[in-house]
Amino acid sequence: MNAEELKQAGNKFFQNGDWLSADKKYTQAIALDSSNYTLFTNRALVRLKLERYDDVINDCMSAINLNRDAMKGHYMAAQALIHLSRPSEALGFAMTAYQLAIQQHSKSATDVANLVLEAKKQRWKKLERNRIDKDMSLLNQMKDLIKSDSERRIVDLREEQWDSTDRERDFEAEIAVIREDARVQMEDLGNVFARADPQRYKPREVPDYLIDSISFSIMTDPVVTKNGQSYDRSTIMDHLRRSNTDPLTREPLRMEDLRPNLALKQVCAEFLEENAGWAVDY
Amino acid sequence: MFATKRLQKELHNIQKPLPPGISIASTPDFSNWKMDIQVLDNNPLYADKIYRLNFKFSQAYPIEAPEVTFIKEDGRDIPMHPHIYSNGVICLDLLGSNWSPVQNVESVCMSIQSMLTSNTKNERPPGDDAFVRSGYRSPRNINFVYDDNTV
Repeated sequence: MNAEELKQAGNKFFQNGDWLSADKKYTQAIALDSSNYTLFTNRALVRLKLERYDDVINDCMSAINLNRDAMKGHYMAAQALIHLSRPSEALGFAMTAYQLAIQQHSKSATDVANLVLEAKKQRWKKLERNRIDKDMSLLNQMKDLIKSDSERRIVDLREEQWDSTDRERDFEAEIAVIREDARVQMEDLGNVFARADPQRYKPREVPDYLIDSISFSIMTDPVVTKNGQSYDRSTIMDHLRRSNTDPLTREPLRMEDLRPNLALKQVCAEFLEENAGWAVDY
Repeated sequence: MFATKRLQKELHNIQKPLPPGISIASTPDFSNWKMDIQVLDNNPLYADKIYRLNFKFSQAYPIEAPEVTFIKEDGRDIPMHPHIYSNGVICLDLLGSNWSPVQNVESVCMSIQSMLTSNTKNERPPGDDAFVRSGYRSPRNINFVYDDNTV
């Protein structure tokens, strides 16, 4: 069999859900012809199913080296990187995939746009976790200081008690006061830290003007129509593929009539930067 | 596709008060909702009656229109109207060629409500018997002729 026949055989196995056999066929095909980037993207898709994420990334890189515009190569690399919890790299690939999907009028543009959001969300969660860990370590350090300070005072008091001849003085009560003071101080400290993080108490709502009125999700790439209404590029493209009309006025509308809404894009990006952890699923 | 996510948000939105005469009957999952509608003025054709609309959503909703029909259920009847067949199929351009993805369940209910409100004819579309016998359930498969623009 030549490379093309092996690829067809692999596709057939893939359609039947036999990932391992499909993987073998694509590997044989690549051995015969390593210049066809679709062999690499096909094998990457199989390996995505097999959860061999490092291999997916290698195949995607091979495909991208052969064809810089291989949208699927960027798309699957981003998917694999998300599975490997490497959201910053995933975001880079997903954004390139999105640009290519738009240029190529790909039907997957919505899925790619969702992947961009997913990568942003994962990156936000990772940053948030780091931030909380850092805050917590500062909080714990300060609690340790309070604790060691109160213990030192108790030790001093015990020594005083050892040397003391004053029978009237209630050392146990004084020690209890020191312990109680420390407990109150630690509680206050915890409250101060909680108040310093108002973000967590803010209502979790995405303002309407950032919401695409077709998908009802936050926009990432808003475009504006002739009558001034903004939609996310990927969803309005879905609509225009079906009908070349403005969704609100039903006047004729073509993809070429859409203009990017850069200011709104900036606002959406800033909102997501601060709230991606929940706003993506809002 | 974003059908489920969008319907989740619509469901959330219609928990707030709906326009008078429109209410949720049941929303078992994100492919099928049932809504009750009622005509509010004294139109003798529909006075004191509640009708039930069945919404079916595909994965492509809201890019694709939902399939909306009247159903007989819980004693609800199919309203008399020159654009509504006796098996519940509705002739409404909004649900076919004139669908727009910015429409939603609430706005569709309001359109159908006003379509009933303005009607005075106690009749079915021409060819109703033949149409019902043909067994068409899906309004999308039919090329409606909107021959009567007075209704």
